Amino acid sequence: MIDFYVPIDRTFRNTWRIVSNHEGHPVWTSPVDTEVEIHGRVVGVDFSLCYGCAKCIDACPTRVFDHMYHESGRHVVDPVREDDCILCLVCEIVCPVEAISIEREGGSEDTLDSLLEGKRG
Amino acid sequence: MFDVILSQEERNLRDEVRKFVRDKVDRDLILAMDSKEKEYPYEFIKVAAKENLLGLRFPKEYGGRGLGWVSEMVALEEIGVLGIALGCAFSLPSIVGEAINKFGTTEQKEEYLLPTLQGKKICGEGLTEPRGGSDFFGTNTTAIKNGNSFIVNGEKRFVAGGVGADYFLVYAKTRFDALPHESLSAFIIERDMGVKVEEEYELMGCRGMGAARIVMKDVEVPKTNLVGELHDGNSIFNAMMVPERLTSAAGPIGMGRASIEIAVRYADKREAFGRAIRKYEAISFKVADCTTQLDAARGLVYRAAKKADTGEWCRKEVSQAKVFATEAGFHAVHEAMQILGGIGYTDVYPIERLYRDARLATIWTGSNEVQRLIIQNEVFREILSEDRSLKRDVELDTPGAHKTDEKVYTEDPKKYYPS
Repeated sequence: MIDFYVPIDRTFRNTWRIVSNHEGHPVWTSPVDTEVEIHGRVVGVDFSLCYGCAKCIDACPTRVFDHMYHESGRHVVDPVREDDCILCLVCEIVCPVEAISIEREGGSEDTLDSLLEGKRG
Repeated sequence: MFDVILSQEERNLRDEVRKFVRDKVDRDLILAMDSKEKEYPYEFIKVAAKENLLGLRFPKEYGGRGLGWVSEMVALEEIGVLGIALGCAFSLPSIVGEAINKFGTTEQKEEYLLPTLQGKKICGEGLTEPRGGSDFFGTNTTAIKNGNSFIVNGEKRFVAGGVGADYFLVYAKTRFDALPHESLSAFIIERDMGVKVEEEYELMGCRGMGAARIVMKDVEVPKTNLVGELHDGNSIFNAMMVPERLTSAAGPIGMGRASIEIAVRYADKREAFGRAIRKYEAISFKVADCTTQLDAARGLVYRAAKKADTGEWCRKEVSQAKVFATEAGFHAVHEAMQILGGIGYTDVYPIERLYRDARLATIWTGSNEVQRLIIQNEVFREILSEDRSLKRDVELDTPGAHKTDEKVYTEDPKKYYPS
């Protein structure tokens, strides 16, 4: 476990670059440090933070994650079945280093529009 | 003090409810609810129903009195002095009843509205979900048509009467390929159809109302329990939000008023530095400011109520009343506690309970932040759609009015780029 960490960059889907594909999901690198990788799109795992504690593996109801030995020499978890994610967010909650970011569903603008502008009366 | 704008009928009702609150509500009930010894105030519902005080606006044939919105607001302020939980118990038949009375079938009115106003059935409503409440149209609960029934799956959070209610007015998604406000429907779901309680909340205030998270798993609801048109939950929601938010507004005025009355009597007798503390402006000005705000709140509430009585679209007025009255009410309780000092922070006085209660009012029934979103949206719409020729063009009443080059609203960001 690391003593100090900055949580996963939740904007990575818009601000990071896809450099490769792994087990069917994209691998992203940071614009400021190309050594830092995030695996997954729906379920993003920051490999610079993850230390393979596997709490997410135990918690996930749809078995999204698998253990992985990264080429950097670290144990991590990989979102190999991210298509099975049901967005319950339990992995985000149990992750002790906030290495996981689940993509939020879209449509919030639609529901706000419905609240403010939906059919009147 | 508002006698000048209330009718004789409304003043009579106020006096009647004031007497009811004084004589018919047992102090022990309030204390038992606040100390978590009581799950739901059934006896309060029974006695209010016996006095024909529930659902005052609804037709007499369904147990109401056929009164207007202002009457209900007048009654609610009086009930409000009992605290937010009993105010909620009093309001729910008005809120759920609005949906059934306005959109329900005759059978639904006979089977649910009438016994609710008679105190024989307890109602609840399920709007907020774990994912949120103010973002109502993002509802995740689903209802899928299956022959003559709907199969409902989902959960609702912070349901008053989650423990205690016999039935719930629940919104669920019934269409999956349309705009959010064309996708929801409202249902009456009885507890006995399979509604389970999975969490009973420990609350800061508003205790004794059975606030819970309820879960519906493959609950079969007869299609006769659909309220209004399929996929038109939007209309019902907009109608229900009038009583939901107006009752939320009126109750805290009662809580604030009761607290300030206690504080005024205290400040008149309590001495510091050799004289009654009311002699210090630091104290007396709080009373001046709080009572002024409470009166302003009443004005906004009655204005919204009068507009609601016309049947016109009144969302701005209702949201303004909700925001201002809940904040004025809470502020009055807050300042009353300050006037009492340390003893106000104890249970020697009920202000600490009212404080815990009033804090909720700015959060529930659509947070005040969302009310402000609604208000600004309505105001921008109003002003921007006005015929400007009907009013003086005040923009021209300044020496520089002709300097149109200075009236800059936007610029091309590439304006000074090299060509």
